[in-house]
Amino acid sequence: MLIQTLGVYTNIYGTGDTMPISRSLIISLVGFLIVFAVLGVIALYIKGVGSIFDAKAKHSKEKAPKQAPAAEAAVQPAAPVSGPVLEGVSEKEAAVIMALVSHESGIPLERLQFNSIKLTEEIKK
Amino acid sequence: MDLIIQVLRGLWNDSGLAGLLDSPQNGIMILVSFVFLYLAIKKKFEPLLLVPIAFGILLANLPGAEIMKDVTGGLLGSYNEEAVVGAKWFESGILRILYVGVKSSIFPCLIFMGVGAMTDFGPMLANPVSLILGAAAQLGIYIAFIVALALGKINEGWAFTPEQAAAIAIIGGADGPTAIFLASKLAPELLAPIALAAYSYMALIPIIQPPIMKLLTTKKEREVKMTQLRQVSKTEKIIFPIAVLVFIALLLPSVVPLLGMLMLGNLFKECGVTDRLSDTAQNALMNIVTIMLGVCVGATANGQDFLKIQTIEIVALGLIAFAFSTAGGVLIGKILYRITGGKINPLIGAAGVSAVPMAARVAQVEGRKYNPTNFLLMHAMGPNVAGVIGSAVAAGFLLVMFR
Repeated sequence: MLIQTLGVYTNIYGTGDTMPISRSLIISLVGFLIVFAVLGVIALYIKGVGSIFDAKAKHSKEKAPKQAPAAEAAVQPAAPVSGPVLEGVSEKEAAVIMALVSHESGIPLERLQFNSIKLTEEIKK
Repeated sequence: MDLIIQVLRGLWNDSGLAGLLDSPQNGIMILVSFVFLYLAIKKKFEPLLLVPIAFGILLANLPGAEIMKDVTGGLLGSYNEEAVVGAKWFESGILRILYVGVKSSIFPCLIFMGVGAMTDFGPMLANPVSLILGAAAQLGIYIAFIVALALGKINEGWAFTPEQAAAIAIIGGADGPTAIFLASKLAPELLAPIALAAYSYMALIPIIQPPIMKLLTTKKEREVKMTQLRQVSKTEKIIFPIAVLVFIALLLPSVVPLLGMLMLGNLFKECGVTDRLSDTAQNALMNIVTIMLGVCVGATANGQDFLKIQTIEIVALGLIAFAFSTAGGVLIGKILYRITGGKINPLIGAAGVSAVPMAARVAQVEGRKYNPTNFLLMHAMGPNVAGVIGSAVAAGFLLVMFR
């Protein structure tokens, strides 16, 4: 629809027609700009929607502690757990292992769940 | 005695060996299929695609097997309803009948549904600038288009029509289904070399991209460690495929068959209530269609039609398209590196060519070479999936121009 409104290049070539280089340059430029424009608009849309959701999440986070601090305290574990349980490995080593598993399996890291990473007895020796 | 000689002569004439001597091109293509099988099985170059494609080449070039025989005289899968109804289409070769799925774009679209069901748009939603990199990495499409048309000015025998040039150029999108979709609509006679070049170069991404990435970036740029991505909510992921499909469909309706299927597959994955459909789309259906598409595409590479100067031109143009697409992504990555004050690693721009997830893996591997603590995979997945949308938009534009 957008291209048709440009009107200049649409339906002017029959099958097998030749095309001057200058015209192929213009078509390429217009095509490249259209890809940029379409993806640029999508990027703006994502940015807009993302900021709405971020603001909403921030708002609900600020509200939550005021509403139910007691309930939250009861649910919270004694120590906050933000990743897998590490035994005998440093955080850096664990990050490397997780990255390797993701890379080798081809599964994005955010779709993998690591419950624990332990150093085996044999390696300890 | 005469009878025996006659029988032996008859046997020889009907044998594949005589056929092979009559058309040595088939013999060459059989050797090509062996090379592809070796690359797929031994070197593990995209084996899920290359094994069916290579076997399709082998089947189509076995003399006398007539697996791609077309009794309808090229009308099978055409728009001429009367001719197809009248012809005994079912007497055609088995792969010729299956090939209707390629010609009608059913297979590429179903593959896109599977790709959608496997794609996580999360990294792209977390970092919208990825889309700019995905757009930049379509540069090779337009460069290849210009070069393809310019070839005709150098030598008339090398000329391509604008439709053919557009179909060849889309190889730069590094997206097999999109290349097949566009070629089947604009230049069906070139479908086999275009599909083979597209898939072969996708398999060769770990070899093609690193030298270009290294050439265009400094050591300091390659070492950049990118910050953690923001968390994307489930609702955002559900809204995205629907919103983007509607937006693009309003601009470029011609690309809806591809993008519609991609977004449908992605909605299956993200909505959380169609796990079975998502599982089928990304596993069983994807595998079935990949087998049929791969074998059929391979089977179109018949020696007599395939071994032409045009095929060499297409292979060369495909390489130009891939190289410039990689360069386009990296160069815009460099610009973003400057604009953001060194927060973006330009290597992820190379992942904007849509070969998912190989291009992102290459960015990860190259980044780790220069900074072993670097983890670029998730950051590179953003431009990588943006490239899928970018190449589909580019295909839509070319369809509007030349169909």
